[in-house]
Amino acid sequence: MSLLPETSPIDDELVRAVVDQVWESLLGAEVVPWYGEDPVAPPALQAQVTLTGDWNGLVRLGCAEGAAEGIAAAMLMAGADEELPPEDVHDAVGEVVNVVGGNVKGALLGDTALGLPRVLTGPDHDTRTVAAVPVSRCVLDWHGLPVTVEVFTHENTKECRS
Amino acid sequence: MRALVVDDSRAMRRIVARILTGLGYEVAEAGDGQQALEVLASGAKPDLACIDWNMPVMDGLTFVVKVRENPQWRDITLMMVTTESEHSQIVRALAAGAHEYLIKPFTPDSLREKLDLLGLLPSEVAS
Amino acid sequence: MSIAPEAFTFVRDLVRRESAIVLDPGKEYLVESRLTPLARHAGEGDVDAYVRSLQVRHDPVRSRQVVEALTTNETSWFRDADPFTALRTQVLPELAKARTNRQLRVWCAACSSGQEPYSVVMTALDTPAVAGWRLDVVATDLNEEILQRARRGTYSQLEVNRGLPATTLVKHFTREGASWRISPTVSAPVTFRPLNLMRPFPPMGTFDAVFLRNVLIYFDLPTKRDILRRVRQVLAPDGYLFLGAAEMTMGVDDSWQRMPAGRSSVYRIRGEER
Ligand SMILES: C[S@@+](CC[C@H](N)C(=O)[O-])C[C@H]1O[C@@H](n2cnc3c(N)ncnc32)[C@H](O)[C@@H]1O
Ligand SMILES: [Mg+2]
Repeated sequence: MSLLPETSPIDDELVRAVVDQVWESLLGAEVVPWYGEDPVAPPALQAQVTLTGDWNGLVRLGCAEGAAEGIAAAMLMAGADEELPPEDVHDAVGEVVNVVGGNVKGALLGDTALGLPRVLTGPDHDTRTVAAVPVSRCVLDWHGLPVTVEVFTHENTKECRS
Repeated sequence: MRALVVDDSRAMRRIVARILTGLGYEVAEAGDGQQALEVLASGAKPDLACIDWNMPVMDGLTFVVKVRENPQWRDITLMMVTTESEHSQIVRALAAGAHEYLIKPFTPDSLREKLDLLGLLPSEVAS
Repeated sequence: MSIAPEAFTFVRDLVRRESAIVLDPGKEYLVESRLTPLARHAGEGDVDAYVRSLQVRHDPVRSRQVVEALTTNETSWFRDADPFTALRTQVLPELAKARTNRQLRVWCAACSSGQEPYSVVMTALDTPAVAGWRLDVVATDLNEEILQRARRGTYSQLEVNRGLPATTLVKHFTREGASWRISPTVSAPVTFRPLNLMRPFPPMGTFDAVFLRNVLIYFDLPTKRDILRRVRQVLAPDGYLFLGAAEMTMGVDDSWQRMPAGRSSVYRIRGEER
């Protein structure tokens, strides 16, 4: 990404390393890359945290219909027949993105603060701004459902608009 | 042994509480630092508090400072359990009075090993 | 699908021959799960086909990979805590009294990804009795891939969470991307090299302490006995042996004397055997 400041250590490799650790220990699952078509439709649910300070951006988890429920169940080690209420699902995926976000932030130099997780659903929830620069994106396979992990920065908003 | 688990995520509280209960702890929960202070003020005397950093209302670092200010709570062992993972943040938390620091994500084994380091592993399960 | 009996037997014999690790019947699942990635990587349909290709044509590289895949590398910082407390409070101070050359040599004989030898160095750095002493830690393992990782000295978040006190983490590690790097102060005294415990040891000199932890459990009795006998030959007569929490010399090699050390034990060569 030529638009990024050269000091940013955030790239696909870093995000993937973080995601591997989170999946392994928090979800007890192995990361499987998504080999299907790239999901173009906005995900059914998005969980995100912002990073503000010396580095400004957003870490976002996008879940296809049903994936968030599966992730929450794995995290809570809920039985297959246990139906989790939406608040619990949102809380769990919010925590997943909080953990991913904190570890991404940990790799940055300087002073950056992590916001509280926000979970969005519904038709107009895609808060991606045209000005945000994608830094990293990976698509994972959660038992046949696509899950995206994305990092954006607002650092270069001006350059981007030019 | 008693523990207080402070985290704004219910799921995370459940994970930590489950591990601690399995080790023989009696667990109370709080969703932010303010609530946790109220639990302590109501007379709960936990041996251990597991504390998230990023929470609404009152964050975990502020909570640690408040606990350390009160001599009545001197015996509580404070362990951060958080995704804040910069070297500088760990130093900050230790300087504020946290005794240990467990970085999220973690495994049940690593939580157990931290308790062992703190001498807070109930003896029946200590290796 | 599970591994064919002939394939299991072939792998079991290979691993036994090359590493002395005993794979008892019932470990089929282990062989299958550990070899599946190798088979996939080699483009073979399944583990059976992969093993058959090895049977048909001897391939030293693949054979080594199979053996390495079947080692268990589970480890942690200051594993079991007590042995390292014993090292700091008893063993090092005792050795400090006995050595006038202000020099100590330690061997970690199955060092895995390096947590054990680095824990030895950090413990020594924390022991006033040996402050300023020269310390050499020779760290060896059969698995060359794990030695590569040990040499690199970088650990994931999950790895630094395991057994490392937070104060030690901030003192001896720096953050590097998603991982943590150990400081040169801790890594400098450690030399890593491959060594197979079942073969005659190369010339290494004499050690003041040997860590042979959580590795004898994988061997049969004659192999354990033989290794303990040869360890006696490289340990100083007044040196110390550390074993894993589930391991002991009793009934294996009775030339060792068990000494209580805090909540754990250390072993010394019996007087008459020195
Ligand atoms: C469970 S780890 C123990 C690591 C460390 N000593 C500890 O206690 O945490 C066992 C190690 O023994 C090594 N190993 C197995 N067979 C061996 C042999 N024949 N020679 C040398 N090392 C061997 C494995 O590669 C593995 O890294
Ligand atoms: Mg939180």
